[in-house]
Amino acid sequence: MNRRDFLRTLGLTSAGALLAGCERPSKLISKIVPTDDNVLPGEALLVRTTCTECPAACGMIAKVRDGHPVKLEGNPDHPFNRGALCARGQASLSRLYLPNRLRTPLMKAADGKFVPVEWETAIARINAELTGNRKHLFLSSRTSGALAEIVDRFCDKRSVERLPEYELYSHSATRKANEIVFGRPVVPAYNVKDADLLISVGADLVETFLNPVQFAQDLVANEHLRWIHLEPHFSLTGNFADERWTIRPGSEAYLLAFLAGELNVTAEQAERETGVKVAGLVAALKKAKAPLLIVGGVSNDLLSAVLAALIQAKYNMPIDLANGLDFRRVGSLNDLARSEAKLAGAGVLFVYNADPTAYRPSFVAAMGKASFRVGLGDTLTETMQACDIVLPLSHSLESWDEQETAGVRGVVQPAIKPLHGTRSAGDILLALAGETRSYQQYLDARWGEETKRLVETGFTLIDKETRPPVVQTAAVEKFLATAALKPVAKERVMVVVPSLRTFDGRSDVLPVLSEIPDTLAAISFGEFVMVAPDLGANDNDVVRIEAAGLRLELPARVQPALPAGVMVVQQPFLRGTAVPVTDIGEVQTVLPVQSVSVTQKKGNLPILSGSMNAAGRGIQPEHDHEHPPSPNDGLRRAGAHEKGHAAATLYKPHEHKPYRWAMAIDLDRCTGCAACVAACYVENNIALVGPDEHAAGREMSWIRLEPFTREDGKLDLIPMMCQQCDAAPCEAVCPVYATYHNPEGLNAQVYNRCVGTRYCANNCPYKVRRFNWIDHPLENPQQLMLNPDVSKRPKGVMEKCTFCVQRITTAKDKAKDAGRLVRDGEIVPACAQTCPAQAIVFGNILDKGSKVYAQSQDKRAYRALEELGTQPAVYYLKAK
Amino acid sequence: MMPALNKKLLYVVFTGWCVTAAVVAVAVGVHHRNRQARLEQPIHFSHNIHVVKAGLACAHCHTTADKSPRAGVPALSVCMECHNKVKTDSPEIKILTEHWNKKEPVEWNKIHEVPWHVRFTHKRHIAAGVDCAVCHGEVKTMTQVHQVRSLEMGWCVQCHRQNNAPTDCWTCHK
Amino acid sequence: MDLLHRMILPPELNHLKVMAPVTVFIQFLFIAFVGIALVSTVASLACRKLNGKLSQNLALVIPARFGIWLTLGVLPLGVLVFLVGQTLYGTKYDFAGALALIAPLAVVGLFALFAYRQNFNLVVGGFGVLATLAFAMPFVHLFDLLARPEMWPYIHPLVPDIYNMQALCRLLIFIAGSLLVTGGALLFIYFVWPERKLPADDPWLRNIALGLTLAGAVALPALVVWDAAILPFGARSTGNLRFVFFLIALSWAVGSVALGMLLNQSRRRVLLVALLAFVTLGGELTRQLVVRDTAIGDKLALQRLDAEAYLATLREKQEARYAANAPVDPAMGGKVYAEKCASCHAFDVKVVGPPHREVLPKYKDDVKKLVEFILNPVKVDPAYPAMPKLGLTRREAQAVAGYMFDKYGEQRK
Repeated sequence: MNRRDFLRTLGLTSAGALLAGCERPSKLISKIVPTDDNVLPGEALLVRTTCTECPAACGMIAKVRDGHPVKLEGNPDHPFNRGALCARGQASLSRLYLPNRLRTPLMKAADGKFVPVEWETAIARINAELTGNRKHLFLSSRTSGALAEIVDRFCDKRSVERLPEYELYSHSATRKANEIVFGRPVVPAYNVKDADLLISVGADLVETFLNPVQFAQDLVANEHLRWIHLEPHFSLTGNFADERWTIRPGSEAYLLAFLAGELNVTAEQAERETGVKVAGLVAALKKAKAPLLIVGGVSNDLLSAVLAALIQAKYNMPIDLANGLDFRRVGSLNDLARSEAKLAGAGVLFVYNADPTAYRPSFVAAMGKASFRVGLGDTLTETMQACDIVLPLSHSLESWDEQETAGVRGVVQPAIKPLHGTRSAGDILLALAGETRSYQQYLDARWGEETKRLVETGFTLIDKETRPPVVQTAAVEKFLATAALKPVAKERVMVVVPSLRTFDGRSDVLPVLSEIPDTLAAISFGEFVMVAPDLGANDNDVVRIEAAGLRLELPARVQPALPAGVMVVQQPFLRGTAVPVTDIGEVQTVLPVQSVSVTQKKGNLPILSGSMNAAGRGIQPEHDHEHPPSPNDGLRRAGAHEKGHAAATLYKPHEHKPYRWAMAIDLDRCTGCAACVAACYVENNIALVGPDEHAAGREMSWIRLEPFTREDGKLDLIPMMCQQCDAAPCEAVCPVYATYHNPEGLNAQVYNRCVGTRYCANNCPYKVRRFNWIDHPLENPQQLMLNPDVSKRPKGVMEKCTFCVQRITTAKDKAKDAGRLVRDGEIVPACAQTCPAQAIVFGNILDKGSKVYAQSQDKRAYRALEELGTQPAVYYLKAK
Repeated sequence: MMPALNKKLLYVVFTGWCVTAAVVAVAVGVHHRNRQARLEQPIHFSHNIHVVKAGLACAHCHTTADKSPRAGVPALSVCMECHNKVKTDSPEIKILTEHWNKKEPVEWNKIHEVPWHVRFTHKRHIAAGVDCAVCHGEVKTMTQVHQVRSLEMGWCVQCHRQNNAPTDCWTCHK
Repeated sequence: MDLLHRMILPPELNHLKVMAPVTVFIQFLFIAFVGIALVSTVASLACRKLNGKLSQNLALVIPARFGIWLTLGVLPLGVLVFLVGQTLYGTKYDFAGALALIAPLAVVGLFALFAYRQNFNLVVGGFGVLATLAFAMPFVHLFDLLARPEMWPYIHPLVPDIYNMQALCRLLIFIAGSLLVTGGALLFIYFVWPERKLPADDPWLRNIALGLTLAGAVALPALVVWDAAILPFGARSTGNLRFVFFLIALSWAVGSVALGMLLNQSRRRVLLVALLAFVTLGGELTRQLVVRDTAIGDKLALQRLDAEAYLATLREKQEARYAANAPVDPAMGGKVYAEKCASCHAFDVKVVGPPHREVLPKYKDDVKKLVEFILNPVKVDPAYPAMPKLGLTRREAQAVAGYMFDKYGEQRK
């Protein structure tokens, strides 16, 4: 180029470079009047509401900062979850901020593409279509309380037939069984708190069954419980139970028939069919003063459920038929098939908050047979895409609602004004029913005097009177007369289980949950099948399976604890296939496998567990079978120093005044539910890195559940996070002093000083340091989910668990205002706060009266990799 | 070497030296101006008049400074307490009243900003007895608020060191 | 100190505005003098072995006349202490004290330099240079600290912070400026000034003088830009940058002329060089004034406010004396009330403030308390907003209070 152009370019580029430095200033807003919520800037407003991510309806508190919620925590007063929240509940916050949420009503144009329209246009169109002689239909997922009433009102007013509600896990077998045996088609509530013997068959109590948080809390709180879990496969519940017995797949009915004394099943026949030592069970039942039997989950056939109800009645088990989860309007999958048939020649089909196409692909074709389709949802699922009008729904954190279930009326109240042009279902249906009042006004009228209390506490109890269940002998006899015990499959089976992370697949839009590995498999992204070692496959070998009409090709993950011939696949991996249904209308959970072969192909599963063999490294105390544990045994660790022999050290001991923060984790309580991992992600703005990074082993979670295989195949799980060592190997090697030992014992990482050498991660024996290899920009409006008390780390910066230092600082600030030191229990890190089993305890270990000190002195206490001399601040408690 | 060329070269070199100095000065100026620019506010609020003439204390408007991490700006109702009667003919008050009538919040440009990775709390500093003027300058003399301290880390740390305030990194870095 | 109060607080404060340029002028005299004395001594010492006459001439650009050294050396220092002390009065920075503490070093150094011009003794000259430099460093540093008001609570006046980059830069600027004006002064005294003009152009002297000027002109642009770059935050301004450009232009001008004269021995632009050199020094000192003003402008404004407040109390006392004797305007109370109070108050309803009906009974036994409150209102009742200060004089307040009680008495009846 010539001189003139050169100079021009130079001038422009330098001007551009200089101008790039100009930043727009941020704003300070003078509101009209001071807010009356008594929340100071920089503090959180706590809104008590109810989680809607699954039917359990736990009470939760939304922490609202600067007008938008940034963290969800369990409501400590709520009788279900008492302050805890599961992984899905923690992650449900991201549903509010999903970038692909529907923002405006959409109408399908002539060319089949959706165009955004105004609400008035959409409503007018729906009203127009609702005239006419055809039968209109309304299909929704489970509703309860006021919303169910509103749906009824709407259906009455506009002559719409209300179809049975659709839930994949509809508990139909249990409800039908309770109808037959007790005359009440309900899901019962089980009181495990007071039992001294719990026999669970198939039900994944601490994963997804009914309210897993409540079960986990009650199970750890009950110290006199002997819990025997029988299952055909291997689940986290089985891993956690006191005793796990394998029962042959599909053979539960034999065992239950024997225990119930029905259908002429002898002990020896039961034992032969199931493979279970029934004598042991009988003895246990005889000895127990308050036994409890729970059958469900993968054991969902009607006969088993009826026999279970009979056993429950026989032993006067505390089965509460009045205060179980409200499933009264939910139909089975057979009802869904019938609803699908009704679509032929139907008028307007309304689909609210349901995606039947996911596991019944024929539904979408059937939808085409109706004259008009209206969908109400928050994302464009396949079902929604088949609709003519899609109305965007507000998230529960943006709307008013109630959840009336299991003896509690939980209020759903908004923590934020709707982010987009969405409306709540109640408002939409009231408008379509021709009413002028809003759903909030409706609820106010319905709650009457209780409104104030509901809004303040988040819930009220509506305990219904529990009458002891009465057996309808006539109905039972009629049923048993025609009941037949099915032959037990001898061939390979594939067991279909709900997913710990996404339940029936409804939570798989939440990006956080894909980042968290499934605890048993230690796999985060991707679909896989867990196989027993006898198949001869290795990890990541693609396996071709033909079972019950399904054809699958999935990479394998070997699970030593799985009984021979059993494979496990998670329900969401079957999305898009026509899922096999049992005769009662439940998901068929045990599928006979026609053929299975290990192909030469390899999958790309990100298996994040590393070596499953603890190899005597002292991460977990070794199980010494020659010397069974006695209460007076000191803790023996491989390579550990003798008691009393202090490790020599080159460094001067640190002085910590007045706090030395430490943590104690009770491994005997940890169920492996990964709620702590999800809570940590949300609290600390941890980046979601995606499957490619995971495949490269670059996970970002600050706390992870490390699985190690035991000799009996079960898994030892240890939540591993930064141990905040006193003699941290990472501190000595940072060339820029970005990580150092702070005066309260924490290993402090200063993000903007870090230059990204990664020597610290190299040196860390626990491998808990995480590096931001690339930038992960957030898509609007995900940046609203960021916790303002924690910075978001840019590329090239090392990060790790900080013991939630932002919470420590807040507590110290409050204590300083009051002129005192921080008291035990005032600081609760996110992981400890959400743990359903209350396995994590945090506090000042210098305070001899603190809980963490007491736990550290427990005889079960040990520290991981202690012989390395890192002097970690995390104490793990585990009986051998 | 021809003497004439020598002389010319010396002139050119010297002139080039001065020009380079000038260019660097421009760069310095632009760099400084990006941080220094006195930001125009939507309403020309003069602290001078309100503090010196009307006798208002800092805490009259910045009510949450001693209770919360952020000092905040007052709600419009606080302004309107006096200004629905006082000086209603002033053009600035007219803008204020319009915002009030339309129920539109006033968006002020933030003058004092700390970076994203810093946790700063007003409450602790006021409780420690640090006067507003130490960090914000003599605001009561300003007709338009501008930044007078660099608010850089070295500046903060030097005062922390002198006054036995915590200098642990995690006190301020989040 | 009441004396100082009375000295700096005459009935108006306009003289404070004049103090700044006066300070710059005195600084100019002092710094130019010390700079020339220093550089010329150093040049003289360097040339000793070379040429004795030259060495002497270099030093004698300032003759060994005690009067000159006193008026241009010691006296401006004293005046400077006083002036700056006044400017910063009430701002909690004891600059004057610190300057007074290091002043003896200047006196000793200047005396040694004066003595050198009498006997041209190496040791005396060397000692003088070192002592003056030792004074120059803390002097420069003290002035630099004027631009860092946040450092004032932490200064130990006895221990200058010699590692401060800004002070080092200022010291180098001082040396560069000194080189400039020494060259200019040499040229002016020996080539123009009728009394001291050399009979014939001494090429050595000429070239040394021009060399010094050129050295200063080359160093100064870089140094002022560096100074502008490392200025503390509160001291930066566009005014400073304008001066930087101005100084670069001046340096270029003086350097080019000096270079021209060096390259062409016949060219004689002596007056121009000398003038430009001194103007450059003056410009740099003005730039430093601009920097200081930006940095401590709010402190000075505060000081002015305090002074005004003090004057206001004086005025009030005066007014009180008048009020005791002057005739009272019976309508004043009503007029003031209508102007200032009616907008927010009424007798029986809340407008902005409480109705008088509720408040006046508190004061019926002590009208003086009411007058005090009107003059200095504080927030009493949380239900009402704070009452602003209305700037009433005591007479007006008394009149209003009387008016209110009259009216109130009327209403009660």
